[in-house]
Amino acid sequence: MFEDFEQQNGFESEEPTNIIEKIFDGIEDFFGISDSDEATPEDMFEYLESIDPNYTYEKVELPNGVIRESVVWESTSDVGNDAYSLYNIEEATDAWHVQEYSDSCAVACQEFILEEYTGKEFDEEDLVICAVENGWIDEVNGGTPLEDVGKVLEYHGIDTTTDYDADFQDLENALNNGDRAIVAVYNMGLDNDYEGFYPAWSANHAVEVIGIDKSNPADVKVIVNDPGVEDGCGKVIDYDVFMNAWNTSDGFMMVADRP
Amino acid sequence: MKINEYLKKLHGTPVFRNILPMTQGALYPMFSVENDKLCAHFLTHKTDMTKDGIKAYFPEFYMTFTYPDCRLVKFERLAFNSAFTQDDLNSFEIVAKPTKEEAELRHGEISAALELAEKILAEWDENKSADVSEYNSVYYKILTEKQREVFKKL
Repeated sequence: MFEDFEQQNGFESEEPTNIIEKIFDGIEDFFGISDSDEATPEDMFEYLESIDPNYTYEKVELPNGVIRESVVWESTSDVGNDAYSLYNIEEATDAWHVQEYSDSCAVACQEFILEEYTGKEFDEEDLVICAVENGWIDEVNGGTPLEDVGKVLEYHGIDTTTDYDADFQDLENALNNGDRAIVAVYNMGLDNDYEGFYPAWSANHAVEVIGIDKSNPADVKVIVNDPGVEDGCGKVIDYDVFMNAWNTSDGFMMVADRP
Repeated sequence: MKINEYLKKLHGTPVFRNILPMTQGALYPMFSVENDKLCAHFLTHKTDMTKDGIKAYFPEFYMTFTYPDCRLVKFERLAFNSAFTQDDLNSFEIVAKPTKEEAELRHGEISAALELAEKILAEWDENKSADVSEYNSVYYKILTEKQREVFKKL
């Protein structure tokens, strides 16, 4: 517990060199805890509040049913609340696979969401056929127009909302509601090696956003399921890199409401 | 109007929302002045990343919009343009994976070109006769060989 708490807050040195680590030592002394014991969040709060009233205790039930208990200091109460651990990343990454066709990124992303929300297996090829038959994929050229992203989900009873001009706060709000989002990006913009290299300005790819990690506010990460690359499962992307890639669609975002 | 504002405005046009498949990424435009209208010419094409670099497919769509009102005056699927052969249409090129220095250099070149584009739009907004040649020349050098060939044939 303490080790996790320390690591999450970036205090990993062995010798207690700062006030926080001294506090942790104090907690262990206070409760007579050995390395094998665990203090509950309430225990920690009781002790921390006694030395600083700015500490608060929070108990939150997440959309996936997980109870998250934490002790936060007032001025840092936002740290960690938006961390990707809030969301069940594993459920989303379980559904990931590389897209089967060069132009089925949007359909693959919708498949990920369908499988996570319903707990059922779907076949990408079946969904592509469904999209072609309904005119949501360009039959000659392939690919889904922005306006038709989400139609496959709607077809299977999942409500969606499309925002053509979303910002990062909108994305965070969607994830905080327990929903998944599909955003349109420039595929090379998601790769540090290529960012800014190619003379193009519009989005050409869809990825599913499954989390935002703000555990270190100075180094925010966005976690995506990218069906277009082999290492796209739960891929962690720097905030700036993500925003540059996303801005190429002027902030296109489709949010799938969790049933 | 700033170039980024113009591109943002283009995002709201039906062609970008309803017609172009999401696989298509648009290149920055070449400019021309035709019938007292400033026109921006765009090519779109698919790109994939490979182990060796960027796999850039042959451009598939050609669009011309007027500035600043974003009126679409031309929309063409190049498969239906007889200037291009079947070999052209099925081809792609691999652009070698850049080093960090090369990527930064290219980013600087694109930024410099866009500054010239800003100048064109600003001149047009002030009802001056915009000189598009300097920007076109700079941007042309940034394009890949295949992209240049396509622009030559249009």
